[in-house]
Formats: sequence, C-alpha cells, structure tokens
Amino acid sequence: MKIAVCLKQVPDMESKFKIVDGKKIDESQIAFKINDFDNYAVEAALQLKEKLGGEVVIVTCGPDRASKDIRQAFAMGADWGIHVNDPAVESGDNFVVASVLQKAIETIGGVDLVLTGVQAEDDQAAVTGVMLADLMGLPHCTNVKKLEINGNNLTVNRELEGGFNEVIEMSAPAVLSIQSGINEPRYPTLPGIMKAKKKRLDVKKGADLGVSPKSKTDFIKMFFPVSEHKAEIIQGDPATAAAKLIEKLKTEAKVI
Amino acid sequence: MPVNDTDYYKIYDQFTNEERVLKESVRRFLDKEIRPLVLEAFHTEEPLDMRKIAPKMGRMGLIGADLPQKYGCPGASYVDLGIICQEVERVDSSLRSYVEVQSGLVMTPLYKFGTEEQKKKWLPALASGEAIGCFGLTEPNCGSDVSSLETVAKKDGKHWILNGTKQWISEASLADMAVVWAKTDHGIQGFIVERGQEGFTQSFQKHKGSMRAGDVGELAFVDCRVPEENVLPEATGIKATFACLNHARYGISWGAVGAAIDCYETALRYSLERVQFGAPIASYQLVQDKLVTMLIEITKAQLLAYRLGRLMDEGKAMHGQISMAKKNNIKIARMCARTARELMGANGISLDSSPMRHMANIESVYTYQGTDHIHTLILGMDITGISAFGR
Repeated sequence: MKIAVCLKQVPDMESKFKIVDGKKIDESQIAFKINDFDNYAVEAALQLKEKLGGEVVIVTCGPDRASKDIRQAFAMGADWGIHVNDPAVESGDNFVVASVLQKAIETIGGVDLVLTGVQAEDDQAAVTGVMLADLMGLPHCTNVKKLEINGNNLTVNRELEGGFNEVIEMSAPAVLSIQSGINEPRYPTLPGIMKAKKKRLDVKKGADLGVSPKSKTDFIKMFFPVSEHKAEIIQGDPATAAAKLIEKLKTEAKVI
Repeated sequence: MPVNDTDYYKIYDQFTNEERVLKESVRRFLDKEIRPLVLEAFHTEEPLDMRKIAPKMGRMGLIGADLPQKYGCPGASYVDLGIICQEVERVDSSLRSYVEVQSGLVMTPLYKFGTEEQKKKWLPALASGEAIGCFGLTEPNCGSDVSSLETVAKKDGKHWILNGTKQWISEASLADMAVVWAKTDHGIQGFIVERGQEGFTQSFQKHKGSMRAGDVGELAFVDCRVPEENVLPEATGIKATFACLNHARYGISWGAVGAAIDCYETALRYSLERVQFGAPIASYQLVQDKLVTMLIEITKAQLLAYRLGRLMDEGKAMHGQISMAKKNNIKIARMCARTARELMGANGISLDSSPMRHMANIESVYTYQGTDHIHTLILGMDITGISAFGR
C-alpha cells in the first residue's frame, strides 16, 4: 500500500507571538514543530505499512525550516518525501496549498491513501484535506478515530460532537483526515535518525509541478482580540435577578 | 522562544535537522516516560528501576551513541551524545550518570581496549540496555590520585586474582559486569568482572544526600578469580583510565547545561506567576538580576559545550578544553540550582520543584570525573607547562 502523508510545520504554541504590521508573526521568537495532528497521521500510515507493506511518502509545503519535521517523519520510518519550498505557495491560502499538494501527490503515482491531520494547530482551518480530496476527485472522511483496511475496503470511525462515532465504509483510493488520539505516535530514535539522513527528499517549486494557483481568499490583517473585561454580577433573589437579566438582555445587549 | 527551550544565542540554529529532531524526541520521551518517576525515587532513595528504564533508553539509542553500528550502537556523533546528556541531566543527574558510565566508562574502554570477543559479547547487550555495566576506579583511599590504587591483581595460571574495594560506583549493586582497574606487577590494568563471580560482592550505598534516584555503591573483591580472557588487553597504565574519563567529562559538560536550564526555567516560570507586593516577582529588579545572571552563564556554558562537541567530532579536542568545559559548566549548574532555589523562596526547598534536587545532585558531579580542583590543575599545567599535582 502506497500512502502519502501531508505534513505541516507549525509554531510551538508555547512560543511568544508578536504580530508585525498586522500582517505576520515575528518568527525570531518562535520554535517550530510538526503539526500534532499530522504526527498522528504519520503514525497511522506507518502502522498500515508495517501491517500491509508498501511505502510512506511525506508531502510538505513550507520554507527551509520545514525540512526538520520531514526528517522527523523519516526518523519515525517514512520512506521518502517531497518538499514544496516556494514563497509563492507559502503566501497562498488553503486552496493554493491543497492544489500544490494534489500535483505533488500525482507525481508520486499509484497512491492508495492520502492521510492528513484533521487541522493545523496554527490556522485551525481544517479544510486543506477536504479541498485536496475534491481536487483529486476522491472520497474523503474527516475526524478519523479508527481505521481498518481489508483489500480496497476501508472501515473508518468518524468522531462526532460529544464523543459519538459514526462508522463509514468507503473504498481506496481515498483521503482521510486523522484525529488526535487514534494512536500513540512513536518517538524518533537515534538509530532511526541516523537512517533518516540518507532518505530521499525532493525539493520542488510550484512551477516544477506545473501549478500556479491563485488564492480564493484575501488576507486582510491579523490582530490579538482585545479583552474588554465587561462583566456585571446581578444581585438579589433569583426571581428578581432573572427578571433584571432578561431586561438587560433585551434593552442593553439586544440579543433577545 | 518558548519558556521551555532556553537558547538565547540561537545555538540550536547551528544544529543539523537531525540533531534538532534528536533533541526534541529525547526530551518528549524523557518528560513522558521517566521524569514522573524521579521525585519519588529521589525522596525514598529507592533508585529508578533501570531494569525497566535502560531497555527503553536503549531502544531510543541513548546508550553508547557515538560507538559504531557494527557493535549494535547508533554510530552517531559526539554532538549527538552531548545532546542526549543535556536532555537526560535536565531530568536528573543520576540518569546522566547511568548514560555516561555505561557509554563512556564501560563501553568506551571495551571498544578501545577490548578483544573482538569481548566487544561482541558486551557492546550490543550494553547498547540495548539489556545489560548494565559499572566502572570501578575510585577506592576508599584512592580518589584524585589514580596512581595510588590499592586493588591488586596477581596472575595465577590462566586466572587473575583480584583483591580490593571500589567505592562510590554508579550502578554498583545492579550491574551485570564491571570494568575494574587494579595494580599488577607491570602497572595498572583493566579487567572485566562479571556478576556472580566468586569473591565479587556488589552492594548499595544508603544515606546519601545526593544522586538519591540512582544506584550508587561498593564493589568488593576477595580472592576474586577472573579468567584470562576477561583482561582488557590494551587497557594498561594510567593513560587508559584517562581516555575513558575524558569521554565522561565531555558528556558532563553538556549534562550540566541541562541541569542549569531546568533550574533557570523553573525559576523563570515561578517568578512570572508568584505575586508579592501586588505584582509578579519577575517585575522586581533584584529578581531580574538573578534571572539575567543565570541566563548569561547558561549561554556561555552552552557555547563551550557546543564548540567542544564539534571539536571532538573533528578529532581536534584537547584534554584541557574538556577540563575547562567540565569545570565551568558544573560551576554554572551549581550556581543556577542555588539561585533558582533562592528565587523560589520557601517553595524552593520542596522536592516538588527541581532546583533543590539538582542542587544536591550537582554536589556529586562537582566532585566526580575529576574534581573542580583537579581540572584547575590540568588547565594550569597545560598553560604553564608546570605540574602542580603532588609534591
């Protein structure tokens, strides 16, 4: 089974975030790491490879620094990778990234399964995997919490609100976005890291893949929400307090 | 930069991708699998169960990191080894003791001075953590002055007969084998002594105020017969012992940075949260002075360790440089443990936070693998050409 895993590098959320000119984050104070959801996707792919054979290919859009986390996936056991390192892609939106991922995955050829994380920890858009499935014309399932494969038949558990699962059957090739907790990702070991040094990583530009998609959205600005500290505690017995609350919701907040 | 990754001078930018992956992975592994066990082990002086932990560390490739893959070791670099020591000692010095005793003092002499049979028998088992080794040099009457060893080995047909006592030995009571140094008619010689050998007793030392999460103890030899094939043939003379010690001293220079960083980060987090006189104590100048002093000294220590690692990998490191890094970085770790404890006030004396435990551990590290004084004399001799050892 040939599995492509889409991997994104994201800021460590413990970093100190500073916005420059309302446009971007000051990266000098930031440590970068593998998107946690993608780490589960890598582990899921490796477990399938161990069971069924085949290969695991990592596909990443990102700047130079992202190669660190591709190497991490290699150290865990992934076989090789494609790194699209192109500022034009970097500045694009999720649609641009999904379009580039689609072309990159096409160049691998014969991919049976594409795994992504449910979402990226940084933008939390949770759309790239779904867009990718649509562009590839493949069935998809999001929030995958359990995955079983029998030949080309996939049985997946999709996590819903409140911890409910729905069980879906579909057939490969397919795109699945993997939910955290589906497995326990292995630690890269030093012997694994030594092997990772020799693994193949193809670096490409958007043009190499014959793709120059335009963003579907316009980025306006980013800012930290201002905390207004507005809170009022209504005194009195329950009946009076409730009446007062309703009055305020009607006249002041105008929400009812 | 996250508060849990002190790197003010962006030294990690000098790391390769693989070195960064190693650092992050070792940290995650230790924080999840081992750090939660340390407090209770230290408090009760019931050492961490290395029979369980060592194989996990072996699978991660943390043991004998720099030794060749031919013998089941990772075949990585000295910088990789340094990164491992830093992350391990960030958790507890006794764990770094285990890593460096096993890698530097047991596996390195086997690799450098042993026969092919000895290497094949022991190196893969030690690297996987399935076998545990210890190193017997220090004695009740022999510390810094290695030439004053009192343990003797006498030839008797196809055996050597060992008599003597080794003290303050890491992993003493647990070890499956010991690399033991003894005096023969032709000078100092290294031997492999296996667990259960007649006349060989291994015991645990209680009532320590330091390294309480680790196994430290005594090895006793009473007419202990060691077969000829357990002699390390090339391990002759005092120089052989120093070759092993340099390896361990190098690891300590990185380990000390790990302990210092853990203390500093603990104190920094505390000062940002602890409110006194209506504001976090981090807002007071006296507190900032202490935090800045720690950070400056840690940064210098990181630079020394990092540069030494690259020199080791290029085969250019001199023993004086190793002494400088060991001496300086342990001094810094000692200062940071104390300063962090001060900043945390009464809460700092609780073992629930790490500085007090690091402070106690560092006292051992200050003394072992060459005391602070000895490293001063090594450096003094190096720059003046005059030995000030003994008279």
